[in-house]
Amino acid sequence: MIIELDSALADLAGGSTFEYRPAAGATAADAVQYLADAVGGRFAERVYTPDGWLAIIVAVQGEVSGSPATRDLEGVERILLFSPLAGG
Amino acid sequence: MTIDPMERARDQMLLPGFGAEGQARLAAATVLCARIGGLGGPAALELAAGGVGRLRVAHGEPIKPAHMHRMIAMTDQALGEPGIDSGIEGLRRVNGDIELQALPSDTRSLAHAMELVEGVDAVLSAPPSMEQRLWLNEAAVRAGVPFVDAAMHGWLGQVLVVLPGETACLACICAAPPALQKPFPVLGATSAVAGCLAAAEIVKILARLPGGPAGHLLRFDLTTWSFQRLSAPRKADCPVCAQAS
Repeated sequence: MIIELDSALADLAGGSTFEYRPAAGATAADAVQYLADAVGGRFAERVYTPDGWLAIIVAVQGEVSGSPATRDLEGVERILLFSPLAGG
Repeated sequence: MTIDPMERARDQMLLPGFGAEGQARLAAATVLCARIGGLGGPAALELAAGGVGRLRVAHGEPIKPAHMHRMIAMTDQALGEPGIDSGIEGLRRVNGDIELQALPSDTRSLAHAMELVEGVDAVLSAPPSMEQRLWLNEAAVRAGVPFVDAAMHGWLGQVLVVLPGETACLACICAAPPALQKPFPVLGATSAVAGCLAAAEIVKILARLPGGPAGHLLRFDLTTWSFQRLSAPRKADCPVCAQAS
């Protein structure tokens, strides 16, 4: 499956799309963690916060997932990761 | 010189389903504009020009030189002065008939947000932090008032329309505020695009026009001209709206 990043996260990760082969039973949160482990650096700092997956929003097949840790990836071809925006 | 409100809105009323009835609904409505900076300013200008009857405008920041590339509701001549004063003048310039309530304060707490939201027909959320947005979101959900949140960062923007009890709220999507990065990259045009998208949604809500993106999150990226409409279902255990119906 493809992990796609918005341009802000892509700047941190060094690319806008990444391939991920989820293991059986993998969740959307596993995909985020895979990417954070793979690219590390500022991307990982943005993702790993003391309170969990706060700094990233996950959309699976075009639907925002409020609970990435329980959203399974079976049959999923694409997920989108993006930052919550707050600027005015 | 004053302009007849119906003449001002003539072309707007040509929109399918809008008409004089839709315009009358706008004229009877009150909208809270939480901040009128780079994003909320263009939105408020559009709402004022479009004939919304009353705007309750909350903005607590003074005018700063580094913000003036995007503060199109305000003027350079007012540098250092409260932004609310210049912004109110800017809104009056586009529509001298509008009723304006000026509040020289940003959203300070959930209790304050609930005061701001009381008695309005819609909320435009355009403050600079997620914490303030979540307060306004919760206040709007509790009051049962439609809430339109618009945000940006650099070339990216997003708009979420919340119909309390019907669609996902902001907390369904982002339940806790991420750290605020300041200063953050801002293109004035990105702010204005997000603000004008939000203004259009508020007009649709107030005029009761059919359709619209309720239940979806709109994301755009001006580097690639990418606009994405993402489905945003309600979160069953949302701390804010799970009990709303």
